[in-house]
Amino acid sequence: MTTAQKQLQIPGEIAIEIRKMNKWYGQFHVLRDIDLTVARGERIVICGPSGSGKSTMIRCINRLEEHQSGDIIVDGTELTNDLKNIDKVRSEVGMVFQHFNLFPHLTILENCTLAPIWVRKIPKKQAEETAMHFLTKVKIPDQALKYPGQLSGGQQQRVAIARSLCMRPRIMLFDEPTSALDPEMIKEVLDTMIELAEEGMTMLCVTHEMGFAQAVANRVVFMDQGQIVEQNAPKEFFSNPQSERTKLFLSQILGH
Amino acid sequence: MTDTSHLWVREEMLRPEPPPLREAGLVKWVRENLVSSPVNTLLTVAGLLVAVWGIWTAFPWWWHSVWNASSLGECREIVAAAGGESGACWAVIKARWHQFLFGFYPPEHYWRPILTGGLLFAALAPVLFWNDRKSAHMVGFAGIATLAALYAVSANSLAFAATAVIFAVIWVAASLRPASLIWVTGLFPFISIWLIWGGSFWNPVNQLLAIALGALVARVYYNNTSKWLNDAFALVIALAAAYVASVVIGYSDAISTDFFGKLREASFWQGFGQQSDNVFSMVFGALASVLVMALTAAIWLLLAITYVFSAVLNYNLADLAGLIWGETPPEWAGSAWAGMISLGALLAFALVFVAARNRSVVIGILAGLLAGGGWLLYQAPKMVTYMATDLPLTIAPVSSNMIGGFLLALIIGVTAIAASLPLGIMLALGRRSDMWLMKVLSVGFIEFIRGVPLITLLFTASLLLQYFLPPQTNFDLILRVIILAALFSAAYLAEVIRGGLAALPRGQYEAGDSLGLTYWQAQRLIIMPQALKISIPGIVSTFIGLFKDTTLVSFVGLLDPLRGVTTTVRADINWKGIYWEPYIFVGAIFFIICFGMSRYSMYLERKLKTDHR
Amino acid sequence: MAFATSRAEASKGGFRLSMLIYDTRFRAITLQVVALILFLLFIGWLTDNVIRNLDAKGKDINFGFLWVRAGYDIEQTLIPYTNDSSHGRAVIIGLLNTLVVAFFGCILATVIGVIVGVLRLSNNWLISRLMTIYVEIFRNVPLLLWILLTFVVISETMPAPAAFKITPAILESRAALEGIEAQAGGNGFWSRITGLQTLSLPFFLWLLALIGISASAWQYARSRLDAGKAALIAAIPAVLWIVAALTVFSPSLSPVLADSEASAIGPTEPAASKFFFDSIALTNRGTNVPAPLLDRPLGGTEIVSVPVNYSVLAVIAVIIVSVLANRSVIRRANKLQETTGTRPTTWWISLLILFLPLILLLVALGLHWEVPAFPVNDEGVSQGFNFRGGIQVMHSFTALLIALSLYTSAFIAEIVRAGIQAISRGQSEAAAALGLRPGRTMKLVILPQALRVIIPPLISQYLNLTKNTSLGIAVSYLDLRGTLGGITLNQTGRELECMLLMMLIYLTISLIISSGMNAFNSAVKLKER
Repeated sequence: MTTAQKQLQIPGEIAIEIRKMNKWYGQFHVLRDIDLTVARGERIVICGPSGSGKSTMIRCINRLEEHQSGDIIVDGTELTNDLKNIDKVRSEVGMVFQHFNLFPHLTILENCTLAPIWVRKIPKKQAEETAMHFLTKVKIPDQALKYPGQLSGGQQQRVAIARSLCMRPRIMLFDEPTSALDPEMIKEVLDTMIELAEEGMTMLCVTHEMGFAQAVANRVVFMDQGQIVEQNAPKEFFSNPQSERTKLFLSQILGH
Repeated sequence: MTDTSHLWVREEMLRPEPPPLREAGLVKWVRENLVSSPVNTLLTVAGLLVAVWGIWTAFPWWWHSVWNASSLGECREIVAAAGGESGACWAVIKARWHQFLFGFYPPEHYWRPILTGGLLFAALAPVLFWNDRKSAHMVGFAGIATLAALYAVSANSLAFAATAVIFAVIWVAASLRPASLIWVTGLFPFISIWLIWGGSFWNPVNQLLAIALGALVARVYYNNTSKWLNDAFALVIALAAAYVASVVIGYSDAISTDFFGKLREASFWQGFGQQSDNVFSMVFGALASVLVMALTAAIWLLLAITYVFSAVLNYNLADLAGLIWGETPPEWAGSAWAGMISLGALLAFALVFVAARNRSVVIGILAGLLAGGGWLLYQAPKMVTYMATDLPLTIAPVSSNMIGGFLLALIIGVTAIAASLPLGIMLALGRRSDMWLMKVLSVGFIEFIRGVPLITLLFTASLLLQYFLPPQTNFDLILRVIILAALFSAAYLAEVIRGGLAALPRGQYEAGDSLGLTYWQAQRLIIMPQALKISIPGIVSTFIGLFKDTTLVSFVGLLDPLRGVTTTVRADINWKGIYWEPYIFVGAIFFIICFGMSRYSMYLERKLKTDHR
Repeated sequence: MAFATSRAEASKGGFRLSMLIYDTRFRAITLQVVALILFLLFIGWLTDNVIRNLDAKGKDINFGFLWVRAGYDIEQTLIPYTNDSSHGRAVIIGLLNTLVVAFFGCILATVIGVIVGVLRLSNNWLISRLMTIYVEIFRNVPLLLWILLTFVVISETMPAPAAFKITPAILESRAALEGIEAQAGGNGFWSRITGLQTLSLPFFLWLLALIGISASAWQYARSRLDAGKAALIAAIPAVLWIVAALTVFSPSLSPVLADSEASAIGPTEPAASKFFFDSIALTNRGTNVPAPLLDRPLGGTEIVSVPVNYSVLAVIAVIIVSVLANRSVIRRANKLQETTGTRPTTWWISLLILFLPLILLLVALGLHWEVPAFPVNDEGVSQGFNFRGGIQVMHSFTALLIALSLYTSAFIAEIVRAGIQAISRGQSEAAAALGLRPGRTMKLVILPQALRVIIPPLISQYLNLTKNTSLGIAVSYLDLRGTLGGITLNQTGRELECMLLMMLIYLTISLIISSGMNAFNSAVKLKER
């Protein structure tokens, strides 16, 4: 494992650096000695069995969960207990959730302009222009005045992506963005994500969509029991898995 | 398999036919809704019995209603002359309706509460409909109703003209831009207090000026881009905080010396243990003594810690003072509390300075409050007297004990409801807070208020509040009652809102966090709008409960419509012995208002639901 | 872990003051310390004000008045009390009066509320509408109005005790009436039928009831039998109803005599009569109800001046033992069902266990009822000014009880309705699909789920009812509020002590009730796992 890590070359500027990060829920050791470095523009897919801590890990990156030891440096800002740092990181990092978490009492447009107006202090008009720009990009500009409840799951998830993009984040986190969706809607969300990846966005994506991983990822990270077991370029990862756990996992999800 | 065929094809489609007679029309309805089973038949007949009996006995009474009479005796004569056994004597309502509605408010000033009522609807319009054309219609209706009511009380032409102009202006504004009505809502509290209690017009103007000043200060604090200005601002606020802290700590010094001295010599426990002639009183006395001793011990412990702390400080400070001032340090450095004062002031200064430099929300609000409050305390009285000599825009003052009837119920109800909503939200947030102390304080307050009857709280307002306020403070009984009523309904609202908060999925909080919103921004923009929407039925029923409970103010000597006014009316020699009519009248008005509110909340619930599906 | 954090953080530079506010570890502590200081200052300020105000008025805090002679009378007391008793005892009397109203109010409100709530869900259009009207009217009008109205109506419309008296004039008229009746050929069944007043309200109601009873009986019989037999069966209750009505209610249905003859001889009955088998008298002074008396009481004693009646204790003990015994019977039946699959019939054993011992005990004690009545002299003329014997219940109590339970029952009805509606239709359909009969479905599937929804709000309604008893002051009912917060407070002038003690007592009651609720909630939660 250590040799594999050493072989990985991290090119260019560093976007996220995680060093020796540990986290416990009570007595339960959820994340154990996580080391991960992400370069700017890199697209990383994180996979692993359920309960392996992959969601927890990316939630630590924007401090939705608190880590108890180790360092996380996001975009040059270290995540400590300092509220100002936390706010800074959160406004630079966009996040897309499994259950969309759109604000049901606001229209699509208001969902997208809320944070730019209140966090970035952008004039309303300008925020709306930006929002329309990104809504057009995710191909739902005509739904702007509807409420989230009136949209399909796939549309809602695309709105959630647009909402994050409106903050002009430098990093995007995806927490199982397609697992709450019906099969026919998965594709529209993945298309949007692929488009985003092609524009060079730094992305961390927890997903089981192996097709997506093969298409866009620079690197696949496999986690189990709260630790990173294997990471590799997608081609090698799928064709030539090293660890027994990885082999077992891949056989299970690709088996049928 | 080959010779038997299962093939069958319909040659011609059947047309729909009407159901048999038993399954349609009135017969079906009766069969399904009245006599579907033996038990149902029996129930239907029992219901019919009740309904028939009720109508049969009540109908003659309503039929023989008398509207014009000067006394109950006259009523009875008229009914007897018409050949009825009993009849309703609505003449009492006709003679006394103004007391039921306004109490003893001077009749020539009835236009003032009526105008206030009309403006209340105009002020409610943006809350109910927000940016909708409907609010203009509502203003229009309110205006027409107000004018009609003014006509009914035969108000003077000046009041007529003023009302017409005011409503015309508001209506035009609402038609052009419905959202502008929010200004009416903002101005309403000040105007309404002035209209009802009377006095100088410069009072509400001054209150508004204070608010404008506060808002301006807060705005300048938030929105200035100059770092230098921000630092200067922080410095000023921090200095003010240090000053306030030193005053407060100095005051607490005075309290503690006074307080503990008094407590030591208090005859607090003398009552217990006396006359302990039986087991019961001895047990009671012992329990009470233990309680008092525990309390005293806790306070002493706190005091001891404080004393040790300040003594250490004092020693250091005295040394320091000796270094600076030589052998005779100034008096303030000698006192044990002086150390506390300096330390507290320093700490307050530092904390506030740090927070203020970072444009903290709380500091902004505090600064605004300080500026506005300062204006009200120091500048406003001067201005009122100054303006009153040059331009006395004064209407006749009306004292609180003249206000009664439904006017009083509405004043207390509406004010307490409006005040309790923000308080209830704060308590609900406190109860869900991660901070132990906030939680304990909120839970303690909520459970205490919910554990005692409202009536005891009202008695607290009328009897005890004077003990808890500095000597010689005395303010209006209505205001005291409103404060206690607001605290009461805030505790209930807090529980309702807590339910709404608990019903929100965690994802909403997380989404707010991940977008970088602060706690208060997330609460205001995301959590509260949804939580309040979920809790609308509960909130409205709390409001209905509070409105019904306004009748209890009669127990502290206010003239509520139910007990206060009705008792007055029934004590009149002309109307002695009358009971159904006034109670039905008052009950009907309460029913209309409360039933209307509950139906409105159901409508709102449905509407909000369909909006988002 | 905490150590690990602080070490990790400490290594990254020293402590800055801004960390007190902008560091997640210290922020909460800072805010709480500030809040604590402000809170303590607030409390100190209040206490200081109290001390200074008391000083200014020359008062102190002293509960000694509780042992001083009260000097006022309380009309309705559960334990002995005279105006020589202490204020402390008056407080206890008040507390007991509060609890008595609350106790009976809760029972009555629950009974009415459950009936109304269930009927509101019935598919009978008329009944559900009537119940809706009931609920909406009582919910949307202040409780105080109901209390005042009930009190005024029962005290102003009820006759004076004198109206129940049998005067010599009445006796004369009776003699005259007997003569006329003898002439007319007696007071027979036939004369009652011919004398039916077919245009009166009682007759109309009676006819309606007759139609209802026969129709319902017919419907029931027809679902099981053919038309002929069904008609025969339906006729039985109808005939019974006619006979019963003509014999029991005859005076209002068919006065035997024509008006002119009756008016000539004057009234033959007192202006007012007792009802419920001539046992309860409603007067403008109060409600006179029979008192239970024992021929062979077990005696009693006094514990710390509170009288303890052994007979009452015995009754309570027997009831508890019966209930426990009944429980074990049911448990055995359950066990039997679990092992053999069939459930023994236990309802009559239960009935026997529950009621037989109690009846035996009461017979042994010689229970009989002392009916309130006027003493009568040899000729049968009533003497005195008021009823003798029995218990006179104050109108303030009756009015408070009726108004409280009607008002609260409207809320309980809504709770019951919502609770039953909360159980989805799917649940009863699933139970029906499994072949459970409707009764079993209710008991095994619907009720356990509905109760979980119903009971917490129900208990908070009980709490409300208990607190609302304090409105008894409106009709001068001397409950806790009336004694401690009313007369005692006014007599001693100790507002602070009285109000504090009163709030403390109410708070204790509330906390006891709500802790009961919490216990229930956690018990239910355990079952969920």
